[in-house]
Amino acid sequence: MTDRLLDRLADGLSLALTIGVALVAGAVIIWLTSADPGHALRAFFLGPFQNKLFFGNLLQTAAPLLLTGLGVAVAFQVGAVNLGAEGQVYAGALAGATLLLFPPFVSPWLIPVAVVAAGAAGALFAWLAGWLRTRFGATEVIGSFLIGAALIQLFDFFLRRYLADPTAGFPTSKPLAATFRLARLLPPSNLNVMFAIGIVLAVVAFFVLYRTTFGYRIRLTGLSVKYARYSGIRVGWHFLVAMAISGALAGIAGVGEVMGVQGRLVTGLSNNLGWNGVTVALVARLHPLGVIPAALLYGYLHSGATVAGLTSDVSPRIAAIIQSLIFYLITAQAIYVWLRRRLGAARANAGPGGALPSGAAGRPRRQGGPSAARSDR
Amino acid sequence: MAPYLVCEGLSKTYGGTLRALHGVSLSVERGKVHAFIGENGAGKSTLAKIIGGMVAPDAGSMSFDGKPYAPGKPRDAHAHGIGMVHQHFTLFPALTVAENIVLGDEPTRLGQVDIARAVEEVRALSEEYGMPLDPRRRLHDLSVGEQQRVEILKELRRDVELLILDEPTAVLTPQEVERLFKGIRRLIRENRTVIFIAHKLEEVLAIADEITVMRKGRVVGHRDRAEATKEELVQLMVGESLPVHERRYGAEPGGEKLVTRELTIRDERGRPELDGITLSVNAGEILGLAGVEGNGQQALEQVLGGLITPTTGSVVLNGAAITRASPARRRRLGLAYVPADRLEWGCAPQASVFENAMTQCYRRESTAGILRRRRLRQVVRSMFKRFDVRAPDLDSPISSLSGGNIQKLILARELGSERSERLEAIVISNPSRGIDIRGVQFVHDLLAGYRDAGCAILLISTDLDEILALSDRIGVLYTGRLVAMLPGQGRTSKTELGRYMLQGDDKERAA
Repeated sequence: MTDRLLDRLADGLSLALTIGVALVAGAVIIWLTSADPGHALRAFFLGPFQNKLFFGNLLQTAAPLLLTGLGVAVAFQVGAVNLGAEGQVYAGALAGATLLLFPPFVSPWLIPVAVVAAGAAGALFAWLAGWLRTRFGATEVIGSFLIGAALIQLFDFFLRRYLADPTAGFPTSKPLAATFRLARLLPPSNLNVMFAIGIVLAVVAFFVLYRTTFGYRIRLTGLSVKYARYSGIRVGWHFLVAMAISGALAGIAGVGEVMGVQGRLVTGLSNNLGWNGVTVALVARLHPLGVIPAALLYGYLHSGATVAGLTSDVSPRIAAIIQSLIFYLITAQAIYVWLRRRLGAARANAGPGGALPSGAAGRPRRQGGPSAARSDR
Repeated sequence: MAPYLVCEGLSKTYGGTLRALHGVSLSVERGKVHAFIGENGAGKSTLAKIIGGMVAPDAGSMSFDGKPYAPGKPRDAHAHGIGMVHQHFTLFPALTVAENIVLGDEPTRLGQVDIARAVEEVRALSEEYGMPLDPRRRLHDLSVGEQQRVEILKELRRDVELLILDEPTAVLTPQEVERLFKGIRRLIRENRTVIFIAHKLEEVLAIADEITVMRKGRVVGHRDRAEATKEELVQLMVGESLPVHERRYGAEPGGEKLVTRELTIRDERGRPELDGITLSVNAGEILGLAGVEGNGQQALEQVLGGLITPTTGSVVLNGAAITRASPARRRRLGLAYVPADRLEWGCAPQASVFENAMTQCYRRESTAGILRRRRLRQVVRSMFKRFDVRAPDLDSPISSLSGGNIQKLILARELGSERSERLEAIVISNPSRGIDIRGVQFVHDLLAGYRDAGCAILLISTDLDEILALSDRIGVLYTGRLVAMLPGQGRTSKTELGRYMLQGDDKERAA
């Protein structure tokens, strides 16, 4: 058996064990807090499959996480850490919703335009964080986080100042025209076409990353900047493109929430979609197809907690705690695996030349500027 | 004479599958230099680590000086008087020679480290063993040879009776090797014992009293120095008689292919890493660049490969300026570059064998940006066949291959693609470091073949035997400068080369 297979097997076993331990821990808490633990356990673990509403909401919870998780995973694949997905979700929501709130004409054809606008807004800010890295050597981990944090504030500012509905009691815009609402696929749940789009994009991302020359260059850059540069790959450009794709996916998730769930812009719209996207990506082992089960797992736990909170004597708070406990245990294991692999990559890129071009961080600049690492591929 | 160190049936398996040692038995006599030789992966380092207490054997036993000996850790070995000097030093660059040597067992006065006494001790020690060192210098200012002396003195200060040296000559110049041998002979006169692990037969024959040959984890032969011949030892190591290749040097070279003019690179502090390198490599010739490691080799290969841009100066390939050309453009113009650091630059260690092998041909084997994976795998397999790359599983990480196979994979990728007929020049750095005799021969034959086909080859190497075996002309790098350009093809002696490597040019020595 090859080392890689062994490694995967060990990872799979430890993941299965972690999920098992996490579920048992959740069950123990229910056992301790519920007067009728049998019923509560059934509500938590089987409730999501009980009727169309709960099952639809399971899928709908997963839908935006497919997109943000995919976005973060794509960034990881090029070796970037996009901690700004949360802000990029808001940027996308704001850009897309502004168009739909003040439409030049009313037609369902504006929906794809809004999606493109949302993607472009998310892409712009992720790209900016990447550019600060390739141009000035300012790490994208911090840059994307700070820009993302600012975007959340800007979103609230624009919402309150220009878009707020004065008749509502809290910061929210007027509702979108009915034309711009996404159809419900499984009423009365919120499930809409965004879920299908998420699945399709995951498959597309897999194909692009693993079956095309462009994806090969992205992954090679992530595997070793030094080797990619040596091979003549324009590492800076691929880094920026992957960051932009990452931001675009987060932005689309944002407008999807507006069109499919909320029907308007509200403060706190994202509710941690970006951050949960990071954990989904890690649980998915950064693999685009892995994002699908990881997002569904999150949706399942969220839905289970909701059902248990509604229909059993487990309070919604305890249910939320159980949901978080299970998910964070699984995330912790994922982070452990990621760190172990990342350490190897970090070792490979240590020393001069491993930095991305063409910033102050690397050797190329002091020895003649960006051209050192530029290639015409 | 009674045996001193005895090993019985030592076996060691790493990670459940990789059998490093297979029932090794041998005995080492007191007051002798005992050499372990063998190809890479023969098990000599594992055996040494077991004796040094760094690795525990799965089976077998040892006795030392008549008593059972089973060290659990290096400290146990030290307690018995056994010390080891590793291939990679374990010293602190920011500390002085004396501080490094006494570390872990410092002389103290009133609870404070007594530096003055440490300096005195080290001075006395270095004089006693004829290994000159200034105890107050900091490690990072020392040459590799001097650092090695620090390691050896550190062991001697602990009164070792048996000293294990793991490939001690790999990083030394001929003069430094001679000095090391003097030190070893002095230890032997004191009735101490040395285990000497090596891969260069000339050195083994020069210093060893007894020679144990290993292959694939077993002892395949034991010879006294008096009865050993080089041919027989090679045959034992390799397991078959290798055809001895007649090394032909290049015929009359053609015109200039790869030219550098006044190449200078300064680091952030303005100190030159490369200082005005002007050279030209002609078609059909191998220009060897010798030099002790760290004298500008890395900067030079990276400038030529397009990884860094020089501060001043230019590079010309076939009349076209490529000083600022990207690595991709250089490849298209027919320049191949094989870096010295295979795992850092030459491949992506975390990627699979396949992903590493396809880097130069993936674009050709794709349609509209989509990889034709089946076809790509065929191309990679046939490439591996031609270059004898042994990779059982294309999807395991490349780091699971041996150094020799990784090197062959890199050569196959950079030289072996369909563009190779259009190769104009090759820049190759330390191509045979860390690979076994057969691999070295393969690489050398390959380079000679490209040379005969009219390629201009710049061979940067710290291995003098390699430089001497292949070069039509030989340049010497010293502190970033090209201090000598000497005739190759056997017309320059090793000693003469060593002098330039160690001291620069004549003017400098006169000054």
